[in-house]
Amino acid sequence: MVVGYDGSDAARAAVDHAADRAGADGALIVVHAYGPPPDWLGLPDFSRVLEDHRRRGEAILDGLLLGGSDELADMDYETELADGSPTEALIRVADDRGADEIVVGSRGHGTLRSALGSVAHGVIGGARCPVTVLPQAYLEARRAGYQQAGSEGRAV
Amino acid sequence: MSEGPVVFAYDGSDHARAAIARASELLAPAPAVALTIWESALGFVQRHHLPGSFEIARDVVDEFDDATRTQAEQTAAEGAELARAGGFETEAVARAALEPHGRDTTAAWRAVVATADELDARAIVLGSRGRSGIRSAMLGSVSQGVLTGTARAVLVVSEPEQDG
Repeated sequence: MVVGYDGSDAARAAVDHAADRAGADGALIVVHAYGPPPDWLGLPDFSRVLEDHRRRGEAILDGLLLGGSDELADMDYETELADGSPTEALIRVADDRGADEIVVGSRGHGTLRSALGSVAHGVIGGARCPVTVLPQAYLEARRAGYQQAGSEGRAV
Repeated sequence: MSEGPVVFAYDGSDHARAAIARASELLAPAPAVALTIWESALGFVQRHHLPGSFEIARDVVDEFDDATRTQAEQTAAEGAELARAGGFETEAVARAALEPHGRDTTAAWRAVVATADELDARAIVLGSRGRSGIRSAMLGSVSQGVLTGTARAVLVVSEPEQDG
């Protein structure tokens, strides 16, 4: 199972959903895409900016266990830092690793909260495997579950 | 989180069948509902502003609807059978689409979302026809509606592409 993670609280809740579904014996790959910023392409500093993004991506993946539920800590999961856009990265990693399923959070654009996020839309359109889409409202409710559970930080 | 059944939005199409087959590898065993939505002829008449639509006798619409409902029940039963074979303890449910409102002409997706909420569904499973190149454009209106209208996990199963 492949799940996208951008470092946000919502994405962390998506990772927990995937961990739940994969189970303790399941295989989970957490993907962070550090896509090169297109505006910088060709500038002399480009490689340095890219390196910054890559480092930040590494830090985001390293911080994965700090938030969310304990399930992730109890299972064997892999992280993968991928270049390209989140959509491309999720599809590519899922293809390369022969994933059974991709899990992706969906975020509406700006004020259009109900719109299907562009990453979710792109992944559904391009993936060879089934895709679970987790709406923003679902991820927020899951987050609220940890807060209720208090210091244990466990989903209820 | 939600403990209710997996809800299959099942319309009897090949991609709905394929969705159940794939989901059985990912989500079974679990309780499930095979849900088929049917639309009253009245909604169709209103939507298309057919000439003379107000003269259509109520009992003609009723007769038409009885046939549509019966067909939907058969479709749902067929979906439930497939899901049971895939390891889901499944109930068949046929339900009328909700009344259209405003510019929303496809009330089918709202009936799917409402049913999933009533059942506290753990996930909604949708089929989406896969076709290379324009696949993302092939996300049907029901799938699109459910994806943007629900606060529940949605498993979208695209039919594998035919090679060549």
